[in-house]
Amino acid sequence: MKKLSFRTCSSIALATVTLSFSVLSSAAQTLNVYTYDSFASDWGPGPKIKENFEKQCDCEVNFVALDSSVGILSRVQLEGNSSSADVLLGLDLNLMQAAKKSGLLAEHGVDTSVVNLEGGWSDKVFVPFDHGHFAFIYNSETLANPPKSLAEIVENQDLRVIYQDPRTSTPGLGLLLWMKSVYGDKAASAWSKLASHTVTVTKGWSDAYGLFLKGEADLVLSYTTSPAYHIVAEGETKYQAIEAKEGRYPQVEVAAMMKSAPNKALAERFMSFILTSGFQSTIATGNWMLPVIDLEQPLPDAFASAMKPSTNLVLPADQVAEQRKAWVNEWLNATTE
Amino acid sequence: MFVCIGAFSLMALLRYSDVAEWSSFLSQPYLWRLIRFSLWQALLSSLLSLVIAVPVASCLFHRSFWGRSFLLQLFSVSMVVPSIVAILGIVVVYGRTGWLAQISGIELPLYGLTGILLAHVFFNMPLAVRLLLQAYALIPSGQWRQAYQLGFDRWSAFRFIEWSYLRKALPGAFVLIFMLCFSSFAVVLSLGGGPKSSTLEVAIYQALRFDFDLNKASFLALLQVLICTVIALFVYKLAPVNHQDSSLLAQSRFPIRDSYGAKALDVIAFLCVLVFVLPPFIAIFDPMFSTQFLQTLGSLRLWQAVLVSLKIAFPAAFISLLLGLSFCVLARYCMGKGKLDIWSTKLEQVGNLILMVPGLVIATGLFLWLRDFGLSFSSSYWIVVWVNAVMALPFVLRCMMPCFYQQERRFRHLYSSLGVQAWSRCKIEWPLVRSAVAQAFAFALLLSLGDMGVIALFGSQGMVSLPLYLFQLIGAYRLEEGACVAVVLILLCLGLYVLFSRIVGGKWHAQG
Amino acid sequence: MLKVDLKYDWERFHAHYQVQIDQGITTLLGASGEGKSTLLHLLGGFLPGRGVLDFQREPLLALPAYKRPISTLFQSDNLFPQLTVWQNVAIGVSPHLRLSAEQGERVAWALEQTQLAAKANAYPQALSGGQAQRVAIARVLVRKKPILLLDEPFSALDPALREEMLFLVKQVTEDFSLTTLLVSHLPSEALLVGGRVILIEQGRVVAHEAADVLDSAQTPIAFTQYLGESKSSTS
Repeated sequence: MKKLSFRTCSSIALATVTLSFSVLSSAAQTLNVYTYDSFASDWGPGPKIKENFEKQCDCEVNFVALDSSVGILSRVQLEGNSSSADVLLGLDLNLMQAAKKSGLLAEHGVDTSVVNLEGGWSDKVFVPFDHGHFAFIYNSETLANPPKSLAEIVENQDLRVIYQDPRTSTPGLGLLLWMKSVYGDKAASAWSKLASHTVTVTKGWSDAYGLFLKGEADLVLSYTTSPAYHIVAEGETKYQAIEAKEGRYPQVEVAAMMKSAPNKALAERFMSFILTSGFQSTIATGNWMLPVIDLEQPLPDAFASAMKPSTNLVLPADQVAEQRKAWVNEWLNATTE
Repeated sequence: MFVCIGAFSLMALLRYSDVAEWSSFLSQPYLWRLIRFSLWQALLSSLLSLVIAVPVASCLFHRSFWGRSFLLQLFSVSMVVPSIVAILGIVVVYGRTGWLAQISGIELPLYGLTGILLAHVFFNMPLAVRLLLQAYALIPSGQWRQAYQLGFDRWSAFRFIEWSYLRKALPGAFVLIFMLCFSSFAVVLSLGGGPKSSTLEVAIYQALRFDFDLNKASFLALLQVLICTVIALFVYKLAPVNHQDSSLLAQSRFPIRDSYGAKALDVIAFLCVLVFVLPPFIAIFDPMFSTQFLQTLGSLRLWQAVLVSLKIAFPAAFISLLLGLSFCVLARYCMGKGKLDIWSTKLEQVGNLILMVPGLVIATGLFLWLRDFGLSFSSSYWIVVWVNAVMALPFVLRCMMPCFYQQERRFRHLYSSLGVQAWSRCKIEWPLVRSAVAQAFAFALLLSLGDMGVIALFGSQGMVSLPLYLFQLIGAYRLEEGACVAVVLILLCLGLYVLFSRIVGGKWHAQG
Repeated sequence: MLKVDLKYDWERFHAHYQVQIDQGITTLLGASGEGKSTLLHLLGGFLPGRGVLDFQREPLLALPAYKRPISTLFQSDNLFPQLTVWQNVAIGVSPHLRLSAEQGERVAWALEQTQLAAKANAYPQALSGGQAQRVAIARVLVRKKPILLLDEPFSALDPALREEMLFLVKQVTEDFSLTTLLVSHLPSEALLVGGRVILIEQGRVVAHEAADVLDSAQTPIAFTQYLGESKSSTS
């Protein structure tokens, strides 16, 4: 591991030196993968995936790290057909529709029957690479009687809640859809109930989670896999996910390849590589999400609670794409009144 | 003119706009609430920053005490503190389980206007102090000599001497801070306690990033520019004309009569600093003493990030300085040339325009432009450098303009009568302007070092700057490590600031 | 009587002034850089000196400038450009510009004396050089300090105006029994105002005589040398 990270470090250092002063050497065998920053970082799954794929492709994987999954999409939208991206890695369920509409993506042709997601996977443009569920996280040392459902969180006025803005962050949008799928037409009144004991609504996940860790709130919106991080990386078991009787809203992260991919064959190979253990085995403790295929090697125990089956609430993608703006406005009106 | 970049970027977006739809945006009640709140919090933030900054600047100017120069240096880096770090610092101090609550049991209603104001004062009061101290430096020492002879106390000195100089600096400082607060983003969202507290910038971000709605984004950006311009024009209209007078005396200091009242006021001013600026800084520096800090220092990635940051910041600061200088020279050329005269002040205001256009809009607009020119993004390094340079311009101008104006007013006739021009003139002026130039350079350097937005949009292929590295860490649960990186970033800024104000500014001048 | 025994060191310049100055006008002569202004700054309290400085047997050295019985007029920067003429004078009475009726009358009187009553509300930028220095003199009048120090305040004025101003100073000195010290580099000025002259060389008082010796047949040697130099340098 140590040796590995040193290698990537030095290659990154080299890349910085050579690339920052322009002239990207257009070696035929380079795969450009646009992804978000923490995926490509040293402690993310990126370096390991790079190594595993390079072993079998005789090529070089070049991660272009952007600030967020939305950042990936808007970058290629800005670049259009002149983009040098081969593969986009890190869009999610709710961005799929918008990404398709951009007309920049090609069909992948990968057999997705191995995908173990509930209801399987049939999309022809996107390949899922990890998944998880949105969940509220609490500190079991300071919160003795945690709520057991989303409804309890909404109703219990003593709880101090922090979540993310659905206009600027993925989990925020996730909560918006979660609320919508649980409350339907009554979402507005639920939002205003929640608003009265909301500490604050942050720009992104980091701000919210940071405030929570500093003790500013009882609950923070994050993922079911968050406790696993604290257990594996810090040996800390006090952070736990709130149960959700109504069911959970899923987060599925997906990859797609560009129509204009400069290196099409390689991109195709990478797309099918995603659904193999060479990729999937890095996900759990690298990206702190769950793999989308069954692996031979079981996940660490820390993930047990995240793996617990629960009702999968998911709204149809086209409805989400159509109604999102209206729902965001509903949220705005309910919380600002 | 290079400042056209701002306008160009906006124009690039405008090409994608559909004016017909604009009226529908205007009819949304939320938009109006948003604008009202943006204006209100920006007004309060900037007024509060200035109201505190005036006595603090006066105190710092008149008194010398242990730690004064360190405080000044700290002041100059406060605005580069990444917003998330500042937010967490403020929370550590004023939050539910923060120091204030632990010590006194008082729990501030932090989330809402209070939190926003606290954070904005933390960012901008020190900036205001630095700008005001520059105004102080323009007061000829002959005035202090007279004040000393006539036995002025601090109040008289303030009323009859300092105020008339501050009055000229305050509108500019106000506009600068107002714009910074008006377009403040993460601070307003995180500490605002909900979408009630939100700024136009949030809406722009949403339109640009989430909806990829270039039409709406350009409309909102235009609206923001419009509002800021109106405010700026209004303030400049009220502002007194820049009448700098001349004095040939070397700077020397004469003590002003002290009194208990003055002492008390200084103590109050100092307490303000103690309350608003220092505790969050201490909270931010706190991780320095953890074991994690050494571990972080040992990481190779950290030093690579430092390298990348420096490689962006130095050229950016240099370009920004050149741009600023050409602005100053142009403005000077316009001075006293009859009809052109009004352009001298206008130019500075044009420089400020850049601040009104949101950074994201500039970056995106540039992106579209370059794409249309068929430029590849392999040169993204230079784009990042350029955009950073342009973004730092308003600060650079604030630092240099007053000093250059004064030089011009004092010596214009002398220079023209002696026929001193161009290079020889530069050589003569250098000792007089070097401290302002150093300050401008240091500011630009710091701003580019702290930049997040630009590099996040353009950055690629391993171009991970220090702030970006910090965000990656925080985004991956590594809050502690991120906090340590923040300390490194701030220390780096402090170090560079001291270095440059000493080297370029000269030892003696650095104390001002 | 003003008793001076002051030392002052600055880099390689070591001054030691020893002199006793009587009431009336005394002109300080000497070439540039010999230390005339330094002496004035020491007396005024703008430079820290060591030794003895007594006026009417009262020690002054420990006092800050504003507590000394002294008004100083400098070459420039005597006025605050941001204040009106009236304010510039009145501020000599009260640094807060809160004047009693009697003080207000005195300001008006001083402006009358210096023929500035019509300009009371003007700003210094609107004044001529001579008018500006008259404002400064008006302030001296209202401050009522027994010692007046003048550091070539009229050197920027044309000869006719300069003469006029010197007469004004002479008259003020006589009317209010001041002890006035005038720094000059023109022996003719000393002759014009009369009184006594002091010659300063390298930070020391080398001669102290009645002003008319400059014009008489038996000019002391120290002066002849200085006069010779100043003549050759001006011609």
